[in-house]
Amino acid sequence: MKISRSRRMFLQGTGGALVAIPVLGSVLERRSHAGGVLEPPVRYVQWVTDHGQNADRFFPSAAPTDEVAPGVRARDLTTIDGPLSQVIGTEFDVVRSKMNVIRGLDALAPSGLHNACVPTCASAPPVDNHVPAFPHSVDSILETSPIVYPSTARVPALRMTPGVPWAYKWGSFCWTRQNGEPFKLPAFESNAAALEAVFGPEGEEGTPPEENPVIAARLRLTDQVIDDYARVINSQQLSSEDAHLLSDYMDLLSEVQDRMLAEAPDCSRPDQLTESDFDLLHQNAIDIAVVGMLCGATRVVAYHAYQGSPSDYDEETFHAWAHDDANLHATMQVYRYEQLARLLARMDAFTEANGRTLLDNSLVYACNELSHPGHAGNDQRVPGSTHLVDMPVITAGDAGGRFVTGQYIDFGVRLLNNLLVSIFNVMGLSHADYEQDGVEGFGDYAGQRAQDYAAYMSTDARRSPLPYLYKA
Amino acid sequence: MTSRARLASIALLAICTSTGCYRGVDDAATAGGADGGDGDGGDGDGDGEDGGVAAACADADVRGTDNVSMRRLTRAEVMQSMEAVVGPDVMAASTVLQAAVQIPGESPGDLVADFQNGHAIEHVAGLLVTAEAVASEVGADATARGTVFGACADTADTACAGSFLDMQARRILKRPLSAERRQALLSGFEAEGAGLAGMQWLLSRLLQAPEAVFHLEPIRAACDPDPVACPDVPGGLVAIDDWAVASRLSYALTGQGPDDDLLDAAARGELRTVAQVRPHAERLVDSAAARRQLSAVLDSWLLLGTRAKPNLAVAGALGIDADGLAEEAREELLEYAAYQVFDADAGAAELLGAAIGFPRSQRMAELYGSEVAAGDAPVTLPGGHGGLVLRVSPLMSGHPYTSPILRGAYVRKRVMCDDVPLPDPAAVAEGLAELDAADRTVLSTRQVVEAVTAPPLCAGCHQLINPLGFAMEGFDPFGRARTEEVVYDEAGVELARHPLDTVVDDPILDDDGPDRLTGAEDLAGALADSAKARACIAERLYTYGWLRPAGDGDACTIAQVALGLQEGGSIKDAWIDAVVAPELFVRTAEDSQ
Repeated sequence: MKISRSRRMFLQGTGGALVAIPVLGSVLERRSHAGGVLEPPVRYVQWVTDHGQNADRFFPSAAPTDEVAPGVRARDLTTIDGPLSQVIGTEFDVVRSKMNVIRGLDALAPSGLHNACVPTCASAPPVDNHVPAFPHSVDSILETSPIVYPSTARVPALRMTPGVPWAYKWGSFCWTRQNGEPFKLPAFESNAAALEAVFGPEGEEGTPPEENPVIAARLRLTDQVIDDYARVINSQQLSSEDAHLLSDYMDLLSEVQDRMLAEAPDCSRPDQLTESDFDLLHQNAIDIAVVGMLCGATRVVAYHAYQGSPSDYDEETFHAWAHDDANLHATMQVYRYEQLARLLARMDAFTEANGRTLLDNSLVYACNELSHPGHAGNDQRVPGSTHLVDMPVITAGDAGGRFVTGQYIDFGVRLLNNLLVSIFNVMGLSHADYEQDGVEGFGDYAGQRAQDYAAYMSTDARRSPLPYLYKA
Repeated sequence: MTSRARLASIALLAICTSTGCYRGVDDAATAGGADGGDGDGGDGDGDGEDGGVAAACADADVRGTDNVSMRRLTRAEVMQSMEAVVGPDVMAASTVLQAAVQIPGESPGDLVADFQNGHAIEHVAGLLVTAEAVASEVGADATARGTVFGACADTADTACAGSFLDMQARRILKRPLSAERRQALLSGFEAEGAGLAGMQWLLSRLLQAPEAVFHLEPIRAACDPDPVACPDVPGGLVAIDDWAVASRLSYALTGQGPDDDLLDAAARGELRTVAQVRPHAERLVDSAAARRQLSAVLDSWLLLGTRAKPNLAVAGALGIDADGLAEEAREELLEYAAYQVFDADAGAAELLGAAIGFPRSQRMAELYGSEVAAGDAPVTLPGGHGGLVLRVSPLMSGHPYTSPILRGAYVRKRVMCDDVPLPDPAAVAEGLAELDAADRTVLSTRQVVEAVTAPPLCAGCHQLINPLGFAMEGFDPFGRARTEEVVYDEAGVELARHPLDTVVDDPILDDDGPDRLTGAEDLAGALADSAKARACIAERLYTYGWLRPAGDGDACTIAQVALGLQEGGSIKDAWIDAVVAPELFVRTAEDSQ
């Protein structure tokens, strides 16, 4: 990717990597919830893949041994020779000191039904329909938070499923409620669409939105469309439920208008590579995500990676591998985690106004929809909920000093929910900001063998970030 | 009683109850099956005769009660509706295609189950830029400009814009413009400076109007002020207006808005009874759009968009060109189904069992062991191929070996519409580990599966699944007929050969179904005779029209459609019957303004 000089930033290549060079001390000046004009905001990236993860292929073989908190053990990742594991390969070495590999976090599920939103909602489906009981993903909470966004953003949550149907059961892991019902949030399958969302109409870069004639025309047009909706609501004999649907659409039209008027990105539209294979597809997608964060279009990215090689995408076959071929399954996961490593390295290649990299100023949370994909029968810790025990977690970035990094951490037997609560803490949200549906904490707290987690079920415990990992 | 139980009462033996099938079929039958043994399961002889219909239709008051709210158009419906107005060339323009990718698509899986009746902001923003692109393209293309805007478009004044609205607004909005709305649109046109740019503005605005985004369903004016006073509408329901009836009919059968004939009929108030609507349905179902819509129905029903792709290593070892093979196999199935439904006017027996197909390439013909289909007529498929599922697409496996469990479950769930609850995950983990550890050089796939699923905890469900899968063991992982099982490793190297055993006893299909299947041809025959499969066809034809799973209020129509198929009616008639039913005209009255 080539990123053009922006109004407030120079970027130059150094040794094959792009780094940001401060200009007059105001590179990437941003408002942040901390209020410092030079302090970049904390960005959040959730990265999700699917079909589970065999523990022996994912976690380092050298176990954490240092007790760093009651029931929590850690090992410095630099003490591990060679690649961290088969799946977390040498591509991660360049950011090893800035990441964590985490185990010992479990999610509760009412049964062994197919997944829907475990990594990002801490919630599983109560019936076999891929719809979570608690349909709120971290990204959907953050994108509507005035703490994360004191003013309207161009793309409050940049959701991407590069090259993959977002609406499929293995697609977007982003959920909210709409009119009381669970609603899976779309993600951009196409990089062209993501690029349009981040940068708006092509050809008017550098023009303030209010002076952009394309945006001005769209604002007038949407005003009139909103007027059409109002006329129909008022003139047709509709049920109240139908009128409500139309009203919702009007609200979305207004939101589109707000986003059009949001501050434009500080960078020019990046060049995109010809997407002749999945490698290039992900390179482009990663660049859009990085530029989107770096240049102020978004502070929340939800990225999904589902391909199995530069040329291979076949969910049904990947699913089958998860069940009956650990070697092929691992090969597939290696490819996906290479994309994660590429994302982390790319984020680490850009220095922001505070002298730290975009990765340093962010929190990246990577997880799989499941843990052990079906083979774990003999060594599962909690029989009957194999799929959600010992979730394979990676975090990266210290979120402006709020997270420990460089560690392999074993939490023993704790709830994944508390990791998501930790993320909310990092982003400045209190429990009043993130709690939903009357649930204290975040996610499901009922399910098979819930009694194993009794120590973490009190209100205070549910609202507590993970010890050691989170630095208050 | 649930709608599924009502269907079960027609489709006879409920083999898997909502409590799971671990307790086994005998227990379920003893307990009275899914309907709880309340005695309304029809005549119980397995033929789906009118006893089942009578039971399903006993409570007329519930008919239509699942029509609670209007729904949004799918992305495909939006695009197809635009195409019907502006033509395919405009929709194929690169600027339009680039804009359209910003409208989120729908699930490529079972859309009836997965459809979400709500918009995200991406839908709204995507439609905005797509409508702009379409309008821009129409303005830029002389032919489209004349067709869509009229001859006066280049120097359009208000009269020209009015003419455009009179000509096109009804097609786009699927109902007439009120005078007030028309004036508002013309004011907008003038405010934008009129001319061609103003015409494009008008088109873009219309394409985003509520009537173009939702299936608007106002109450029919004649029922006002007391909807219940409409004599042909059961209590608790209201009649929707004629324009909404036209839309429901057209989208269900064609996936796009009503044509002029249908709109004219709506304007005359001639879409208020089944008798009035049916001729339109018969006309629409013979259109090219109906063929496209049938493909959409089948994609959702048979999960054709998400079937496994062939195993590349074994394909390479066998010299099979796997590039695009899964897509070609899907196309072959769709062409077969379209031929049966539209060209042969076939019934369920033919659709489910006919040994014909349309392999259009040499590689597909080789997989079927047939000739290449060169013209409009199908070729005969040997080796037990045929029907809806004994074809390359559903039979294909991503593995070097077949999966009788997946194949059997597919037929059980997709063709018989049986609920097969997910098994206990711990048992699955254990079973999969055993499957993985099995020495396939010693044991055949059938032997491995039989051993792994033998424990009582597994057998309850697997006795419903395995026999159907074993009967299909006469097909290899590419869907080719075979006489012995050849075992390959993941690199495509042959490891062993095993004799085939495709004979199964007690496949548990219909009550009066066969006690034994000797292989695929018997299975195809049993499916072709199956009342449950007919009920399943009826359910899928019906539910796709509404894009929601069946509810209590739908059971009567589904039962009647199933009965029509059982009595030898054609699939095409069944589709029409599924759409042109009393609930086409009504919606619930609750909360009506």
